[in-house]
Amino acid sequence: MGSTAVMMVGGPTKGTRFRPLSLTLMKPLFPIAGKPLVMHPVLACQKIPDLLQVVLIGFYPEDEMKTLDTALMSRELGVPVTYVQEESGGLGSAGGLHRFRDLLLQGNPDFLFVLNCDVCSDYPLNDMLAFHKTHGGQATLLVKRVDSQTARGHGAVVVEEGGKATGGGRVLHYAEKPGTLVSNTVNCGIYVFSCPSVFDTIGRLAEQKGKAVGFSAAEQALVPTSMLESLSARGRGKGAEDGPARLGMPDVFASLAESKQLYALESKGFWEQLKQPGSSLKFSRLYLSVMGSDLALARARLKGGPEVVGNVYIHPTAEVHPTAKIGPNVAIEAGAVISQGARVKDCIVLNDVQVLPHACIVNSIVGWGSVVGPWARIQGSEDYDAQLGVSILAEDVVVGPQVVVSSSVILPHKEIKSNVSNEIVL
Amino acid sequence: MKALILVGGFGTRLRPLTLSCPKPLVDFCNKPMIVHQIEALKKVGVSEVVLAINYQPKVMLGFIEEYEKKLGVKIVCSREESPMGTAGPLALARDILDDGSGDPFFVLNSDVICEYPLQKALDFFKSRGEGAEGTILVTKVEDPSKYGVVVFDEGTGKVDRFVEKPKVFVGDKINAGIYLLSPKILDRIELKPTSIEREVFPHVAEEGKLFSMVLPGYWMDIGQPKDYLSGLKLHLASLGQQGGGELYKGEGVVGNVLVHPTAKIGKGCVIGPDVSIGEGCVVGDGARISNTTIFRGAQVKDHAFVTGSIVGWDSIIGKWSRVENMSVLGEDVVVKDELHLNGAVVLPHKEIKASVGSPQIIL
Repeated sequence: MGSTAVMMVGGPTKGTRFRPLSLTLMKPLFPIAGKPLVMHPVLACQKIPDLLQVVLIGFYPEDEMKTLDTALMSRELGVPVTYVQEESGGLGSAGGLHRFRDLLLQGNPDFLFVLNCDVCSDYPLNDMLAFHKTHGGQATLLVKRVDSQTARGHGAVVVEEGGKATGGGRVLHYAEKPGTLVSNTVNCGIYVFSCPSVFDTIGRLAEQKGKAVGFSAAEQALVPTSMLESLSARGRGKGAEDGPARLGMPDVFASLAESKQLYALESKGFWEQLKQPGSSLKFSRLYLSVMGSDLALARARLKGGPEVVGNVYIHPTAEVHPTAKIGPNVAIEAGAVISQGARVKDCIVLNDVQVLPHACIVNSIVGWGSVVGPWARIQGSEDYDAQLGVSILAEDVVVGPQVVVSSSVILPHKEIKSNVSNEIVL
Repeated sequence: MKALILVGGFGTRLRPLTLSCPKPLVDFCNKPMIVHQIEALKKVGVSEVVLAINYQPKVMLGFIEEYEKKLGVKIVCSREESPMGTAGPLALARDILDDGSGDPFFVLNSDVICEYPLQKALDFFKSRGEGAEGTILVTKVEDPSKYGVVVFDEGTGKVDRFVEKPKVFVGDKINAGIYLLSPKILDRIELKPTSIEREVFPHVAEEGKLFSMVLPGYWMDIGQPKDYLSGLKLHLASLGQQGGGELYKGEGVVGNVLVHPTAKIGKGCVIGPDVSIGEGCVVGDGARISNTTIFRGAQVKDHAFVTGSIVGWDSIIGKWSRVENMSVLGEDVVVKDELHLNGAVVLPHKEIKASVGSPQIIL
């Protein structure tokens, strides 16, 4: 009863939403609580019994992904971890899975887990598997109840009443980002599928969709048979000259819901989606809250050191002065220096940052190698999903002494000499 | 002869264009900015150009390889480990600049455009005698209080002093950022971050060895988008006056317009004044473009209206869309049909699906 897990890591064009941080480092590698973003879902796969392998699928060129230590992941999990590059232009998320069918079916798994990397969760993967085994359908989605406003921007899931006792049930209807409110229950981007039957479903849908965009029956009558044959020889589901049809996961879910093969399990834990760079503070807070043992280490090291409040991660090579105060919800990455009398709260402080004496940083992300001057104040609002909420200093930004930066985004290599508020500094 | 071009840092004032390539490689009138300078230098007999840069992206190496062949000039990068100011790079490149011939060398700021009357500058330099260590080109401005003013003898050109942002009127000629220097001046410069304007020239002037020549023609520092468009207007006017036949003559052209031979312009368009359209661009039917530069590979679809803006490489402006008021589109930006972009500064690779009603940065 083996399982294979797939991480959907996305690509550079989607990464534009993560600017200005993605101008320096691609989103999947952005450190959250001391680990690259993608590492959190990968490590969560430890919960899956009889795991065969983990495959990361994304649009990033392979040489750019080399900095991602798949060997380390592989050692932690005890199974092979590989990265494969999806063709840009886009087969869609389901089409991408189908393209790597042979790789994913190696070792004949009975179950396929699919995890999106831009969500943050406590990943109840074993609960999902247990539930999946009880209903016998082809797929299980993890779902979460959210407020009506949030619901509109996600995949809306209508779950059968009565199944609620077990925390799950059959999905009656699936609608991706409906403009109007369909359901307060949304798709979390974490799935289990039965193997290999799900690939047959995806293959069939891809073929249908390819035909739909390729040639209608009337058009086919006009196209020479030899051309149709050569087109179909290019691969299943491929149609017109301008490329194969896109097949997204929502297409698959809508179809599975219709054929009564789709089930949903409600998440009891935390779940958030990474939208703006500021959302990474939310991720950081949530992951810090579940990182108990690592944090204990950080605290022990700080005995007789600075005052630490709440959950704090401090990289072993970072230096924090004994008169500084840190936390809650702070991650301080390698080589960063927090000087005397500095205050850091609800922040991500990236590698090699220097926070000079008496500076105060709240609700902010301070980019690689940046310098925050003495008595400077970097502050943001708690609206983590707003573009101008959390203050973000990108790589190598220098904020002068006593300067205030409020809810602003500063692009790399800038020097800020006077106060800025609610502003993007190019 | 040798020359040094001061490139410096990341060119952040010219973002979002400089997020795609280093500042000297940003196009100006269908050529990378720095190519205008290197071509002018070659014309007066410069055989080797040093680019003083304090970071070295890979694309710079590709550029050098391509243009060394195209222009027939040796181009080398002198990479600074940390910023060296405006004089430090001269000390760093000393072995190249002082080649033993005693010939003077040129120093140019990479942001500056003008008609590059370098032969005149060379003649002027030589006419000031053996003892002269340098010639600064100066240009007349209307508002000298914003700049560094050079006070000099109108007859001989001998520099008396420099006044940074003068509060009272001392003169209206400012340092144009183009110098012709004797190798002797290198003995005054140490290998450390130094400002040539503040820490070197005043001493040379005190000894009476520094001269100024007034730059004929236009001059502009095009280091930021607004000035870039002013520079475009001045440069095109200058091309028109020179009458070299480079300007585009076609139906619907108003004023000075430069169109790359490979660009395609649709029917019923009105283009100009002060427009440059780059290599491989496609302008649809009935488009209206004025006071704008369109970079290589960009497309302006039918009936679109673009004015006072910069359209980056390979960007697409949809039908009936209106882009104006110092909008700057980075590389590969797609603006959907029928939108209004008023002062939108858009970073590379974005798709714009909704109008931007007031000036805003789209990350």
